[in-house]
Amino acid sequence: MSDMRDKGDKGDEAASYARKVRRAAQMVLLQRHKRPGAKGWELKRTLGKQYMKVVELLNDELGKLGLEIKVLPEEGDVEPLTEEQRERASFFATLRDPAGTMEATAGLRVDDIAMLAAIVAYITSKHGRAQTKEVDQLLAGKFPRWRIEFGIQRFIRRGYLREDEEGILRLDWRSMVEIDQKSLLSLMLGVEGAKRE
Amino acid sequence: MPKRGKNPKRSEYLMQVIELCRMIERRGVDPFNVEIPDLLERMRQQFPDLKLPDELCLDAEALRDVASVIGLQGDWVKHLSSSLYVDSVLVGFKVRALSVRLLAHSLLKSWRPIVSMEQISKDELRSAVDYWNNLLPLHERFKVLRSQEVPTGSVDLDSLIRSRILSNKSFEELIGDLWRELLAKAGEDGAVSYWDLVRAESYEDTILRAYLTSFLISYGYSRVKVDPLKDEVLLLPNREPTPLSRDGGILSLPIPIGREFWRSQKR
Repeated sequence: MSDMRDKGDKGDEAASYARKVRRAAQMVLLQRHKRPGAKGWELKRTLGKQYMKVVELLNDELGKLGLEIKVLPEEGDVEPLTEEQRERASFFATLRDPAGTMEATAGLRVDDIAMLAAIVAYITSKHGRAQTKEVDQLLAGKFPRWRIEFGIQRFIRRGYLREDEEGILRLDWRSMVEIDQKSLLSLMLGVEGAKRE
Repeated sequence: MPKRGKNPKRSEYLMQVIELCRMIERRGVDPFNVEIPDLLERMRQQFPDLKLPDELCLDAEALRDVASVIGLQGDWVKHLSSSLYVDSVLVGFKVRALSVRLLAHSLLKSWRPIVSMEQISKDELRSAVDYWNNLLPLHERFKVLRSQEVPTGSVDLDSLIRSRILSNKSFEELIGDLWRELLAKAGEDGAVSYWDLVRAESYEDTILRAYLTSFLISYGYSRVKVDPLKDEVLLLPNREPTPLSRDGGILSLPIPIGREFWRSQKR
């Protein structure tokens, strides 16, 4: 009798977690605000105190589809995050492996992607900030000026870059989530060597 | 002993420090190019000579900007020691040397785009259907708009006074009346509680009287005395309007008048 009750309890718990995983998937995948994803406190409010366990389960499920959950801490917060910092952080679903091909480029042309690569690498090498003028000069030999201006504004709108009133460009939230800066730099610097090999 | 005045040299040096620190921050150049100990030493030496509030403010501002540069130095060291450190000149060179296709390829190999979907929810659909069902045909809507056009009318002065849009007395007359009332209430004691003057039958009138009282004080018709122990504000009317003297310093005295507080005072 008690075995049956135990099995029943475990079944209820599993069903409850399955329901929560589905709810978490909706929250993370369906865009409800200007930015995609969900905040830690939103997940906690909906899924309860054990929300990180639900997020881990969701991560396992998404892994089967080649996706994963990525956590972006608030600016200034560093890993390992405290409970409070985790609640402030944003949770996104991203591809588990790099896009690799032009098929998953979010509507960007090859020129745009090249421009973004150059800007992100340059800003990273400049300790996370570079003057817009410098970036213009860097790209001037490769792209027409109107295209550079248009590209930078587009990347700002999409959350890859942000520009302050003094004309300093910095990487914004989307670059932090989507782009592996270390890998980008090593690929860019090693790409000629790799080609020769 | 000669009076100390503003020394342009001291201010100029502090401005230079501020400009230098901000330039370092703005341009993202190596913050170790600044000799922080030298800057601080010179600021320390001239600090005892700073007397004017402007100079002291400038000194504080310069010190804050120097602290920001020290913060940048910390970030710089962290970055140098991290695996992300690459010379920006080298990156610039690579960007110029690589083809557009190779640059794009580098990003594609290190790019994991966010996956998200935009979807209309059941609630949004329901409210859209409700809106659609309640939406009048265009010709009906225009009819409604036309029917709203009403001929212009006229309002007489009495109605505007009754609606409190206009007053039948000038502002000066209102202040004069309140001053005379204050003088009468003060009598020989020479002091009236602020609330005894301001309190009126309606909340709106109380606000109006408080507003006028503030002008009574600003125009020198009355002085104010605050008794912090009794938490009381007293008005001491002047027999003649006396302009406020700026030598003794003028203080602002905010007095909140919430509706609840007004009720409690009324009781």
